[in-house]
Amino acid sequence: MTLSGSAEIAIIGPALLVGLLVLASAAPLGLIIVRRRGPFTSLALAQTAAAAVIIGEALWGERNVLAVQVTALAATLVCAAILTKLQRRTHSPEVTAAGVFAVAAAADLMLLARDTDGAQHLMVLLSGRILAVSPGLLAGMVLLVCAALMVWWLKDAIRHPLIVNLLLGLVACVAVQIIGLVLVLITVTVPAAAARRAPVSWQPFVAFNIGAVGYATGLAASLMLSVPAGPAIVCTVVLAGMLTDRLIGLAVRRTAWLAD
Amino acid sequence: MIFNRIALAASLVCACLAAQPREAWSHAADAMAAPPGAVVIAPRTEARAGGTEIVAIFSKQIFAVFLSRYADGSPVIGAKVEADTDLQSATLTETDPGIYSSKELLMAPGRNDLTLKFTINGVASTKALTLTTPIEAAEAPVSRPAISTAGPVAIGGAVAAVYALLSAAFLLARRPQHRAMARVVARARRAEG
Repeated sequence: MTLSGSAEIAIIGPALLVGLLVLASAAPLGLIIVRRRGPFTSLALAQTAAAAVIIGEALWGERNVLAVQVTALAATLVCAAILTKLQRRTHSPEVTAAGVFAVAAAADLMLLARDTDGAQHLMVLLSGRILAVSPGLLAGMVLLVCAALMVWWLKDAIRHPLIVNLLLGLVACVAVQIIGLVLVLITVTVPAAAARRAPVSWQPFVAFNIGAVGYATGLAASLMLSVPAGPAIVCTVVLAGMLTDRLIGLAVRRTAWLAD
Repeated sequence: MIFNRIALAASLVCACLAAQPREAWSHAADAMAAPPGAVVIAPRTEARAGGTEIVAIFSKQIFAVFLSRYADGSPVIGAKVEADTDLQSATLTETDPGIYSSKELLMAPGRNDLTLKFTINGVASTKALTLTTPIEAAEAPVSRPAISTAGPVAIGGAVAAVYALLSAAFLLARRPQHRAMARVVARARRAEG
């Protein structure tokens, strides 16, 4: 570590803030996804969002941010609606989600094959650029989190797959551009999966805190070991999830610590 | 079980990461490749003026001209060579037999029109040449860390405040159906016990 303490906080702080905001919108959605045993749905929607962003950039150019975002959001929401309809009609929704993921990934590859900076672009989409967060993006994330939490509170989202998928598509579309595809998948699924044995009413709180610990330790590890932040956070979130899952299992077994 | 599914999904993404970059770069390489049959050593151009063969190259910021007799390929020694572009002109100095060079001429990427004036054994000649230098691909935008202008205390405070706010929100918003579900689970466990 060669940076001073204040410089470290200036780099890590905004990234951690973004991580917390993404977690706040992803943790409740992740619990619903995990309860339905459907991590492929989140993967498919995140990959679709990535493809939508690439299509937006191909149509309008990277500098036309507003047009790109509007196109990407519209395309993601349409794909989320189509995915929901397909999942309703088939007997195996997870296979459908895997198929949508594969098609979206193939579309990504075909679109990026024409781009001379395709490899760089794909790397950013996969690993994200959480350390390069602009204030505008941060404000957008705050609005998104408020909207996601409001919908989660006001609607009984568990009973409406379309609302869950649209909300997840919305979160994925914004988050995939900041934290990357792999981290979106891990943020949605791992904390929720690790918290599933906690008392039901505590699960969102536990999932959020698992993610928060993972993000904080991942960013610190990235700074100390000079490794990319996104992949480091992925590893620490998974470790935090496994550790918490084990601890909750032990606690439930020994003390019969039940809900409420 | 759920961790197995997540691991499977993550491995699919990693497989895409491993497979894609080479393909994308190969397309970039194809776009910049020379036409079939051409061998590119450095940006160069060739011409003939009377009995003199001229080969001009631009490499490592050095503009060099090779003058040789067309008949036998022997180097032309002791010539006076000047090169002009639209904005610059330079007198080339003979560094080796038949090789005249200058570091004063700068070539822009793409097409460069230049005029070569040379005097061999008192006979002056002028030849217009076109030298095409490669256009370098624009560098990919590099993500820079968002070092905020706010002080570390302000940033740390903001992070702590957001964390506390969101944690409190999750604690306070324990939804009625969650509580009802929890009661059902507790009742079921009591019945099992």
